[in-house]
Amino acid sequence: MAKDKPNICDSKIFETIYKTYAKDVRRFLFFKTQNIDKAEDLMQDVFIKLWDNCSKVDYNKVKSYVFTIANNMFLNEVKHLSVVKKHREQIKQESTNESPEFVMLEKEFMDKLEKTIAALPDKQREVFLMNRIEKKKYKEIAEELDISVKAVEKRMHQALVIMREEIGNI
Amino acid sequence: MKKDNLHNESDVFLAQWLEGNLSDQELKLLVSQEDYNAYIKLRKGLEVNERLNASIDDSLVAIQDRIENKQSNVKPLFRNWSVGVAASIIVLIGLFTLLPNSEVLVQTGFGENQTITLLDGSEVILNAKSSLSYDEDNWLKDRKLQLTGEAYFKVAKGETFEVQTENGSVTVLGTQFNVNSSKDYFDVVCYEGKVSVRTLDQEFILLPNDGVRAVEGKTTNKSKVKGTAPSWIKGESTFRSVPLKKVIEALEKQYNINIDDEEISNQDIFTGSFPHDSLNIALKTVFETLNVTVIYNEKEKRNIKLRYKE
Repeated sequence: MAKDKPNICDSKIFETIYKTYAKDVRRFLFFKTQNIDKAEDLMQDVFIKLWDNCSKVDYNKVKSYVFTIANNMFLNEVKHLSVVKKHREQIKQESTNESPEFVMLEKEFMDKLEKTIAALPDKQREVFLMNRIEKKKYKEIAEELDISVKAVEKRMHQALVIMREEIGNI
Repeated sequence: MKKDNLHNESDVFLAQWLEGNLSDQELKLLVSQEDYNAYIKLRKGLEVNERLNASIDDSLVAIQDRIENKQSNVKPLFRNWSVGVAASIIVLIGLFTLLPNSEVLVQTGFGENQTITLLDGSEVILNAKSSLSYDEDNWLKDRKLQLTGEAYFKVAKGETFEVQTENGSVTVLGTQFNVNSSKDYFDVVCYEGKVSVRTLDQEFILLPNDGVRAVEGKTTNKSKVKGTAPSWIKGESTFRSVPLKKVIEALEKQYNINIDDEEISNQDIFTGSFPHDSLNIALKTVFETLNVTVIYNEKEKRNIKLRYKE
């Protein structure tokens, strides 16, 4: 046993591991489940499981450990859902009505989306990020940039047109 | 025709649609079916993208909370059962050798009151999350008991009756009085007869409806209190100019909840009372007037967070 190996049961080390992998695990779980809330819940479960087993997990293999756990949690979830679905069919509930517009977001699509946002022309990207990331209303953006609300809306519209063209129909 | 719309420099409808000022149905009329599907997917993609990139700090707090709650319930104190057995034997031996057999210990849980009648006929009503211990064998000779938390005493006439706490002691002959002693807080009110109180730094004689209090070891002067018995006996907790943090502690003891009061100032003072039978009303009466928002999860009402209103 190497003495200098970091101990996962140390809450500082645990936090560092969390900060390194949490986002990736959440992302991974989203592409599996296609449900962002579920992905968030399962991500928390993964790290609680890591904490429970902190003394048994090899620090050098922690990355593959968390992703394996994530995958297992997803598989359990699928099993659980298929049981739920069966049950629902038995009691003849219209489970298909729950999400009439279910849209699959593939990894390729999301990767392309991020690239496209980054590649927007400066003026459009500035407005787009202020609206989507900083959650500012068009009016607030207009005041801040000292342009008209109409100009903000135009840039936003253009940003969406560009993105739609770039992403195509995947 | 429809395709041309997209290339018109002065168009803004997609911006309005994304902001929710134009409905999906309205968008459908402006673009082709193919474009419509693409935009719906794009919007969902944007929402998910933002959540995927959102900070993970809040989730860490949630995880830590869950770990903490779990640990107190599930994690065994001794991983190895033989250690547990050995420890119990040591504890048992310790109990028999160190403590006199007649030591009586009474404890109350969250939200629980208990009335205890002592050998001499004196009565003690113990408030929630408090404990009381005394030596039963020597009680008639030496009326002395140890208290942590809050209790109301109706003392039968006789020898000196002494309540010892870590914050000071109260000595009486025959009388009725209330003692509340927790960490850094000591409050005694006399309701009948005459009570002598010794705090860590001073000594007082209390007459009916006199009260004395020490916060963090500093004793304030005597004050007048209304009523013939403390209100908690009747299912209510009453406070007069008490630091808000002490009121929060009382709420925690009464309702078995955790209140995160990190953001609450030590300067805040509360005067008023809260009921023991409705958490909602209790939270409202205490915090609404103080401009404090109470945040909790519907599913998990046990953990409450406090924040000042903007």
